Amino acid sequence: MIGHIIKKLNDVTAELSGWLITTIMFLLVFDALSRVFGKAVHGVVEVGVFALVASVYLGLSKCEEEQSHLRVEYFFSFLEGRARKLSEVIDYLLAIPIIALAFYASFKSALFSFETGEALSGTVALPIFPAKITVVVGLSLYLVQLLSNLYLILTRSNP
Amino acid sequence: MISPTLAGFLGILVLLLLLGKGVHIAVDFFLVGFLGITTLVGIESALSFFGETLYYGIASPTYSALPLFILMGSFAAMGSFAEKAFEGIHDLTKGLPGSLCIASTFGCAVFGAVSGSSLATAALFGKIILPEMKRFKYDMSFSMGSIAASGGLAAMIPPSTLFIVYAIFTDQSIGKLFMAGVLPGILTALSFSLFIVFRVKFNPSLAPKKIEDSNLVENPAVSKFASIKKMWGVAFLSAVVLGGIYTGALTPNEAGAVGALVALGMGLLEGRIRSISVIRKALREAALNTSMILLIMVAALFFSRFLALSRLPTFISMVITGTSLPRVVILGGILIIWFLLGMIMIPTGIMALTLPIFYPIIIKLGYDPIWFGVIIVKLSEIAAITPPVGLNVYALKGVAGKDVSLDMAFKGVWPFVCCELFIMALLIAFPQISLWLPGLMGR
Repeated sequence: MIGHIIKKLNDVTAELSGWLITTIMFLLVFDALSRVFGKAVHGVVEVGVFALVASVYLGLSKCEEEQSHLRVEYFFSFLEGRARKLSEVIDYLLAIPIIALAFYASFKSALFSFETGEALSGTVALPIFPAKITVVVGLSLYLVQLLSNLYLILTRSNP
Repeated sequence: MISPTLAGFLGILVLLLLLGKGVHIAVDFFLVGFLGITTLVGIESALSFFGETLYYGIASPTYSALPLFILMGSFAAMGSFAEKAFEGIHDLTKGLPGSLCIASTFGCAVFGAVSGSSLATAALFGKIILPEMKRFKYDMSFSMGSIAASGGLAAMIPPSTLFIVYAIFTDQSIGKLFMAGVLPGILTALSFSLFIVFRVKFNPSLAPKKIEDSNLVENPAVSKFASIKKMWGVAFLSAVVLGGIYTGALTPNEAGAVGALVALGMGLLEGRIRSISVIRKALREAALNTSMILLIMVAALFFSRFLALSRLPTFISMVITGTSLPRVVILGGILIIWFLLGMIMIPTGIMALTLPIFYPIIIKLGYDPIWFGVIIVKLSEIAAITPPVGLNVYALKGVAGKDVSLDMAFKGVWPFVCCELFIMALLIAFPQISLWLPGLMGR
């Protein structure tokens, strides 16, 4: 049941991530056209950067679910049975604390931005904290997926 | 308390161990970077650095080019641009010895002009051409080698994701790097094709001649025109993107956006992208690739901050440039390290690990940064096909079926690696091959 909910959430965020890239596409085309017609609109590129940040972090959990994060698999491919399982568990025991720290650090950074009203120093003073919140959300989902994968490995019988 | 430089050395050592162990690359960079910065400046500062890098590491318009060109490649793949490129080229090369292999080489080169991923190109062309090669009884080792190597052309021919990654790490112009890759890409495709023709001439069993059913014989002018017409979509898309960048009408980011929109529009108009589910699939694919690559970039950036704090790059740079070794020997050493790392790691990871150290040395030695980018991408092409971690070969094996072994595929790539090394020697001896087009842009 929980696994199903996590999967659904991952599907939604991955799709959202894709639509955010499409948003960047339309924003930049609009920006190029507005420049051509001599009526440049300020803040378009900045909004595009926010969408970029969100798209990167919201896609992480689906990547983890599909095990598509890159790694050197050469030595791992020689392992079998319990050795393989142990190696996988070690990988997750290294990944979970550092991603948990990343989550904590990004949360602190987002909170700081919110409290201080941190904004872009450009032509349009857009507040930064909404973009930073997407980092926190993306990393929290990534962390949940890492924990879920670890649980699956621990409860799996040896191949 | 250990010295910062020693901490930097130990950090690299631990990183290599973790990479070899098979821990996710981004996790490796984050972990070692965090432990290293904590050792040097304390945990509070490390946490602060961490939080800031996670956001500001990618909160820059420069990074937008990457997902947009990935999206353009996804739309182009869904829009059957690869099939059309292959069909068009194959019609033109029918009659030549090993025509299917030559068609795969130039097909990959043409498709490389709309897709920046060598992995996707190799897999896609494997899916299209391998069944044909099996049907005409081509030698599988030779065929797999030619497709895997040709897939690498997408890394050199713009728009290339590797050039964007290099540009981000070194603060170079994406547009100039794109232009610098054009001639080396074409030269590599030509060298592959010449090699295929000669090899098949001397050993016809590699590619039995059975495909001379071309209608070119009946009416050459009309048929050639029809063949070229098949490729109009790819030609138009690459003209919009590269022409836009070359003339300065579009920034690389805008070119990526316009390119993705045009690829989507053409797919819709021609009916190849028929439903919202196809668009959603392309979007999801682009999103996952973007997340995967950019997470490594953020992590690598965090790690490079640790290296900067350790002052290790400055130390190594001073030691190496302080020696009386000729600069070509130092360059050779760097390239050999890259080649060896390329056998076990992916190019983005190697760039992240080595550029903070090697790039300042290369600049201090007086080499051109754009030219060095081309050499690095050429080495990445080679890395993509050399064992044990030749990603293109793995991708190709994934679509090749059970009757083709990985060993067979790796055996077939070595002659093409020799072609690659020959072209790289040319690029080193004659930097103008890479620098001529970017030079014209600057005028």
